[in-house]
Amino acid sequence: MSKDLKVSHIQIRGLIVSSVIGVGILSLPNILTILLGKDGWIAILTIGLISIPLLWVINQVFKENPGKDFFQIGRETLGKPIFNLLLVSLFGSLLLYCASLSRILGEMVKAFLLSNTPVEVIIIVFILATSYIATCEIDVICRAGYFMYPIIIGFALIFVLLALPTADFTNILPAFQGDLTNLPKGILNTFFSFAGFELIIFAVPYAEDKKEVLKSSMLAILTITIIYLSLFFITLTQFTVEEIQNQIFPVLIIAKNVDLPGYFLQNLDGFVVAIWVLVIFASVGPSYYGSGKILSEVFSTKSHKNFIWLLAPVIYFIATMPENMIQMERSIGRIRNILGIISIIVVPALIYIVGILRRRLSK
Amino acid sequence: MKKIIVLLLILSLTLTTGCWDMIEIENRIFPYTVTFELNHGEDSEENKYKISFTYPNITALGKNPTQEETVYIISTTANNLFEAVHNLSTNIHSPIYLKQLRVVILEDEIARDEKLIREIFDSLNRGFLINKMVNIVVAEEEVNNILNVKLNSKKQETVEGLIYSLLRNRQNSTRFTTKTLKGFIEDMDMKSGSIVPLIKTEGDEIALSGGVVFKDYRLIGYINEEENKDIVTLKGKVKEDSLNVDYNGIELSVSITKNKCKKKLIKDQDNLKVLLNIDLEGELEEYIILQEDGKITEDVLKAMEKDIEEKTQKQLNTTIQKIQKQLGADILGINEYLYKYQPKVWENVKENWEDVFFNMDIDLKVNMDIRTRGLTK
Amino acid sequence: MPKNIWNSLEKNLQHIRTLFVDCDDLVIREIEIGDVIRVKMAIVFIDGLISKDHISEYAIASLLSEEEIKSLSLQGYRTTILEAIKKEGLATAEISEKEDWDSIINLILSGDTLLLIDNSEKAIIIGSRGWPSRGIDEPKTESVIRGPREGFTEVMKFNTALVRRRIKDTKLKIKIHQVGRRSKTDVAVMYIDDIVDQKLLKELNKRLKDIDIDAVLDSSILENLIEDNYLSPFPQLENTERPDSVAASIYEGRIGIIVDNSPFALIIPGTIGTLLQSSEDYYTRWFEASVVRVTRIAAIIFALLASPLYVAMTAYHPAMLPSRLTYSLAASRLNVPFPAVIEAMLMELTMELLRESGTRISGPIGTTIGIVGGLIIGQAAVEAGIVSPLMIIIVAITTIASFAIPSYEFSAALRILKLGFIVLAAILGLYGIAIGLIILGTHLLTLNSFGIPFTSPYSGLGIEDGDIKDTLVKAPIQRLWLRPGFTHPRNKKRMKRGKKNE
Repeated sequence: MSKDLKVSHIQIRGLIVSSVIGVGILSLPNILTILLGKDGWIAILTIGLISIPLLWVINQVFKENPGKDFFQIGRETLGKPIFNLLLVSLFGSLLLYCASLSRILGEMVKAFLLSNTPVEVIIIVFILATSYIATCEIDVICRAGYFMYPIIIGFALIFVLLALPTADFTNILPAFQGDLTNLPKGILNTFFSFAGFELIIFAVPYAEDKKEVLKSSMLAILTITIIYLSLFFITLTQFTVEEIQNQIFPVLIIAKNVDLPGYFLQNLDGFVVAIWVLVIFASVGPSYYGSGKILSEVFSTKSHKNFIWLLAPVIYFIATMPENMIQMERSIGRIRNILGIISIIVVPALIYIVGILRRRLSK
Repeated sequence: MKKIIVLLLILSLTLTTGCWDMIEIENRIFPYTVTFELNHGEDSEENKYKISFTYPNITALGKNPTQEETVYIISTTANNLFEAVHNLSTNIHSPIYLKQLRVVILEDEIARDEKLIREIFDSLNRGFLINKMVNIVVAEEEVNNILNVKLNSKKQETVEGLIYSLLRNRQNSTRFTTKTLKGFIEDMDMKSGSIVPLIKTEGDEIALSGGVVFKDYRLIGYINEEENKDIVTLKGKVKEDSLNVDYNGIELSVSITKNKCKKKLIKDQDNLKVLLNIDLEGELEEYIILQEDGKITEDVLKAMEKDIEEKTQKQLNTTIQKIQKQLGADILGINEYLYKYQPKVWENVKENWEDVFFNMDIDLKVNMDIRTRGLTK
Repeated sequence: MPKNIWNSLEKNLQHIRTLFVDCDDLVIREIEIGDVIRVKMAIVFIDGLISKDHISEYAIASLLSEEEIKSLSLQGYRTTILEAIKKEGLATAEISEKEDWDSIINLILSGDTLLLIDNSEKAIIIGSRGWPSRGIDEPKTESVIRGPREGFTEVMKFNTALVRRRIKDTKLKIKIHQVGRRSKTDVAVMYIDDIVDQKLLKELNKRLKDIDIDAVLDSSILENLIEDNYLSPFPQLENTERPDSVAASIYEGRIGIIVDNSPFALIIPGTIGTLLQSSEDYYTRWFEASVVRVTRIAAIIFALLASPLYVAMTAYHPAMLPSRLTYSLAASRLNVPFPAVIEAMLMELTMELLRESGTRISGPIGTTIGIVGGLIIGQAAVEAGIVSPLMIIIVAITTIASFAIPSYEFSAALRILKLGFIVLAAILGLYGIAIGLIILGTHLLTLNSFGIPFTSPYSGLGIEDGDIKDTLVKAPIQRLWLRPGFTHPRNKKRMKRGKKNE
């Protein structure tokens, strides 16, 4: 292990929650109601459950190989060439994740906050600001995760509370009328709103109390599921199904409807977007760091700082390549999805399985 | 050292060329009302509407007002709202900022044309700028009259506009029903009817009374204040109102404090039959001071309640007839009820809901509870 | 320079005179005692550093008094003269034997008196330090409503005594280092041996040893030399003038450092949680203290973000203000010639000027200038139509909020950063403020204080049950039976976990 870094299990919990909750939730009700009607929550619940064995596999990998970090384990178990190939896919998925998040952030900010500023400026400023934390080590990133964790939960709570007065709970009915044959597609789409927890592969080896890590990660997934579910239901109570299907960011539109008592602020959508910038930062930061770390590993350099600076223009170009959001989903989104599946599911599982096989063979 | 130089360079560049969005607050115009009317002028070919904005004169606000007129109105012809904003930029000194918009007034001629309404509402709904809680109002007569009255009205509220203040006044809850942009679109999506308040001039003042009924983005009828009150009662949404009934020759006035409506499906084959259970709770406001035998006992109260129930039921039934047979628009929200609570029935009827609604039986049962009789006996 | 003193008194005195040439405050008093065998002695001290009465009465007088000397001179052997004087000849409280020039010169310069004896290999150092110093006074920068009013002075020995009085435990260790090549400033490191984290102690000792500088004039210079990141605008050590704060921190497992010539003691580690605590929280009732602590967080947000938010809201996002406020703001700003940014910067810079001039001038003039400046300049500016009234209010609230933060250096950092935030808000509105917060937050997260994250106890490492109870709010003392965990103390319990109302 490289340094004397220490990470606690609570920080890992915070890291998972803050990396996963990003832009996925903003458009999630939209996609789910199109596919599944009012029963979209089933997809959310299923994904929450599916993530648990994935986490368990990751934890097992580190448990079986104590004292080594992710790259060492991978190299030893799978051999350098295969592992490097998998690393490339992981790198690609992280990079595209950063780029697509930056682009979505740029569009959101331009739409809600700054209509005349060129979107390139918004994106480049964001990438530069995030590169600061990407040049730090994993313990700082985990601290950031822990820091954002109560902010995100508090924010979700306040959101729900503010939406309650205008909520119409009868909108949740009728239940179980949705088209359940679309469930697999719905699950697939929800999966990418849950993506992000694979970043703990960088943090777990440095954890102080390894026994608590599994419990903490489960708690994190539980928290994320609850937050997604409550936001989904709140969106349902605010609009009719047709409206949700028509809007791109239903969650943000709720903020437009909210009337704070006492007229302290109105038109809160701008404010919500400003806080959302922080949330997206908490998602992009670890991914950016991860991609830099992978490059530093592949090229065997000591620190990943230089790669972070090199990657900044790359992310910028990928983010500004597509002309609009629809095109972005089609091109970048699809590649990212495929690479994402490989990195989240295939890589840990492969390491785990091959690890077991090797142990059996060597006995 | 080098880093600092680079930073300073970037900073100076952005400060001189940047700040793209910075417009000082006193340099913006915040209209709070916008009106749409059909353009009957020479350029009615290219520009369909005449759009006017009402905004407060900020030099007349504040500590040392330097001007007298508190409200300005500017108009232009254009094809849609955003084009109007850009057209006006050549005539006025500051950019128009639409986020403080509160009321949208539509001329009734426009309201009769479905295509125009659909276009207008899409422009309001699609953009990020306009708050979804703007109030929609329909004007019964020439919009110009209304605007002129607004200008000269003595009761002018400079900051948020007379119309908005009227709309927000809670005690008006039964004379007209307010409708927000979001509510309107929701109603239209559900294929129900929607009531939009009606604005007209009464002498020197503006009044909101009654409403118009929209169905499928088109104006199909008018309702007056009485009918509006009935509809609100039927929907269970009365906040504050008083009920006047002639009881044994004595004028009885009860103020309504609570109003609920429960719908129940009675028959779901052939002609649907739905029962509406209206609950009213009230307080006695005026009876009469009687010399002898004046105490209001429980029996008297019960008799009063029964009387009110009968008379209200008759009144409400008339209105229901009008809604169902004359207008044919489901303002009462029966389809919403079916969609949520009886989804299987809804599946069967939603295709030809219009006919089903026209033919269905709507039963009514009113229940009145007088809770208190005031301080005197 | 030779290492040790010579036997001959003359040679030693000659050496001293050459070393201290042109140091006219050096005094050499030569004595001869004994009747049969005359023993020559010399007393060397620096005038002003010693308490002359002490030396006169207890050293010179006892040496010159008849009875002892007769018996001394009768014995007559060289070494016994030294021994005899040491054991019976001097009535002073503190003496030691020295023979190497380095420590002798050092001790003379520190205020001890040198007693040279002819024909003796060693010399006697008499402890005689006494110099004029400020009396114990209420600390000027940290006054409390309830609680002790003692503050540190510039004399290290008195300061350590003030702390020692509050920790009557043999486990309280006071180790004295000397830093600074020419200043040879005494630095006392105080800690409780069985609570403190040994790793922390080792790290501190290592850093102190690594210091190679001419002079350490104040504890702040020492602070800059031993902290993790000296480029950061935020302090990473806590400093205080109150001995009870130092004692409380030592009880928590932290280490206190007292630097000679400085009334400000340092406490390591210093984190955000500790920088925002004031000793008053512990002396007033928990209810009010909790609310005050929460108010401090609001004060931080105000001090940093009030002006930038004003600029962002009015210039970029007026939609967020309620309509009445929007119109009245617009009306009040009608005649203001500058955009909101320039207004904000102008007022902030004026505030800085006022503050700076207030510190230069002390006494009644200073306070008057503060009030005059604030009120009249602000009012006049509004009347002249240069700034809008709301800006004055915001600047005033910001300044007051920044004084509500217990640590002056922390609030100073925020004050300066606020200017950067105003610029960011001017370029990119609310988004700019969010970006600024991201960068600032990252910087705070990367800071370490002697290996402990600066954002403790909100950093997630090693936190215990009691940490949030004591930082975000202030739980009553019955609930705080554990020490805060982020310093990794070895002995966690500080109070018996009693039942509720015993």
